[in-house]
Amino acid sequence: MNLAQPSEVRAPATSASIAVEGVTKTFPINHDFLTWLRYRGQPPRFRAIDDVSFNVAGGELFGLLGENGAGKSTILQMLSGLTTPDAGTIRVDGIIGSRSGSAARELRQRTARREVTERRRSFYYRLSARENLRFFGSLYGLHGSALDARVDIVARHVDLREKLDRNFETYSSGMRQRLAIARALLTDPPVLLLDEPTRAVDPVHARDIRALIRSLVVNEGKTAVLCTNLLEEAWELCDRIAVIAAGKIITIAKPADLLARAGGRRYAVSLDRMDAGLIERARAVVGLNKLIVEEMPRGMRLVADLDDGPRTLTDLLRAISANGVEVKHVAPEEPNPFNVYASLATVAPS
Amino acid sequence: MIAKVMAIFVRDARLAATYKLQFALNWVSIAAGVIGLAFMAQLVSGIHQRNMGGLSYFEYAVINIAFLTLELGTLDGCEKVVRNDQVYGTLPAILTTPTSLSVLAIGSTVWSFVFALVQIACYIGFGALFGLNLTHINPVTLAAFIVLSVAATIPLGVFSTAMVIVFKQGAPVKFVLSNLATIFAGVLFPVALLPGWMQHVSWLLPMTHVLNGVRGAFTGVPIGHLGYDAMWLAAMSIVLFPLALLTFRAAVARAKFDGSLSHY
Repeated sequence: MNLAQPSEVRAPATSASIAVEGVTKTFPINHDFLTWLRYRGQPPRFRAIDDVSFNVAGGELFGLLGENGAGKSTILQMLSGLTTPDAGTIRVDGIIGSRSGSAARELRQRTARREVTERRRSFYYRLSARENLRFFGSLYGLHGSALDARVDIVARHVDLREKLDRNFETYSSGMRQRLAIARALLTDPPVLLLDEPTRAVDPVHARDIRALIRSLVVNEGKTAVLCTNLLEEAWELCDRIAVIAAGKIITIAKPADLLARAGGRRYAVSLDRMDAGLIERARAVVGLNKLIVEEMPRGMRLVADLDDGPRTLTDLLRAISANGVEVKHVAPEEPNPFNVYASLATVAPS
Repeated sequence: MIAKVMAIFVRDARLAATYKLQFALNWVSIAAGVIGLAFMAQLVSGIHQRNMGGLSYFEYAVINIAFLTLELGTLDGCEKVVRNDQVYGTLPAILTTPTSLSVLAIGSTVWSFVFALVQIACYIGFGALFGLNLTHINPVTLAAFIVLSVAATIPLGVFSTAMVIVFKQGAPVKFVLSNLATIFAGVLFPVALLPGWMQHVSWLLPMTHVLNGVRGAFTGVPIGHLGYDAMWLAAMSIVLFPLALLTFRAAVARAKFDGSLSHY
């Protein structure tokens, strides 16, 4: 991927900020006719997003990290104006998104959404990539030679320039993702909403896409919200990360602070075998925060999160070996993104 | 606005051209329809043909079917395009662009309209081969009724599209109008043959007035003599267009609230 575009390097754009305040979103449990009749046209709704607030500063790359169904994509949909919140407000550069009208159109002008996923295609299969980009570019108000030039530039950004005249149906899933990024860049928007941008992309192009995203934020002053399931991607790219679970934000912090915030100590303990009461004995130890049991080819492995108490580790090892179980190896584990994320995202919010 | 309407038209034309067989079959279907009508007209040629405005049965039926194509094409043009965009997954991507719903509605109808005009030309061309008299056409009347036809039908198509946005499948406006047209709009037989109450229903359909107008145009009737039909269509367009757009906006807002904009 060619990122060096000397003739197109532009001064950092005026960065746009995002403010999400007390946003709640519910969806109908289904669209079934009988349910609709049963509830007299008002089927029950489930809460997908629950009183979420956060701010994204201009020129910041903000990550949304969470399990499938946590509500990340719903937040992006609301930021793009494709879904309206039940309650709360969303401001992009001070403009409040509304259901319709000029404010919503202006919001759309400022916000380019990245339509992704393998399940849903968002291009015309029987048209070429160039025809697709030209069509969407026209809807963004570009035309003539300016449109052609812009299509060329964004195609180069995502390394598709030589393949622009191929029909979209011949594109691999990774190329489709890259084309979606190209479309998002057509109007050089100040805000980028990136929904799993490297999903289904090969490692080399995924690395290049990450570099491109980082470059757009750092060199061109764009504000980006990145929704991802990939920990390394969030840790590598984002200035701050919001961990989401069950529609609520559990925490928002810089990646380094999240690691530091993990606190406590984590130990991996290898055992020759497991006896019936071992887990109960271990869980009874005062100061044990969390215990993960993993079956290994030879024996068992326990991962234990302990508090800072001076005797907790000793008590744990004594409890484990009480019934003749041999402790083969004990080693401290440094906090890493997975541990931090798992401990945050798998805890149901109160 | 015009650039965006053109972009939507070009997209639809290109997409249609990629389906080569369907594209070709359209013309075969028109030729077969006209030939069939020519033989059917021979069957009824001995029967007294009243209330046909001086046209033979063949001329009457060919003109009506040709212009019904225009009506139905305009009626379901927008709905078909938006439905396809739902299925392709392109509708959310389109709605994130700063394109107003009125531009989307009009733009999505243009290809169907242009395609229907070409189909009409084919109907008339084939019809001429079998005896359709083109020497009396009043071009001003014809052009006026084509414009009025589109103006009165687009709002109905937009109503239909609003239904598709909310309910995804099933377009009752199109269903009702296309089925009613066959009986009530005087496509295959004059409205005057219908009982009185059915003629009242007929009067409500835009198709009845459009077909009245174009048949008049083919016999050289000036637009002034068809003022009643023209005024009716113009009034319908003026009243329904803003209502249709409001309904379309409400449907999109509803889909955004339910999170179903990308559902299909």
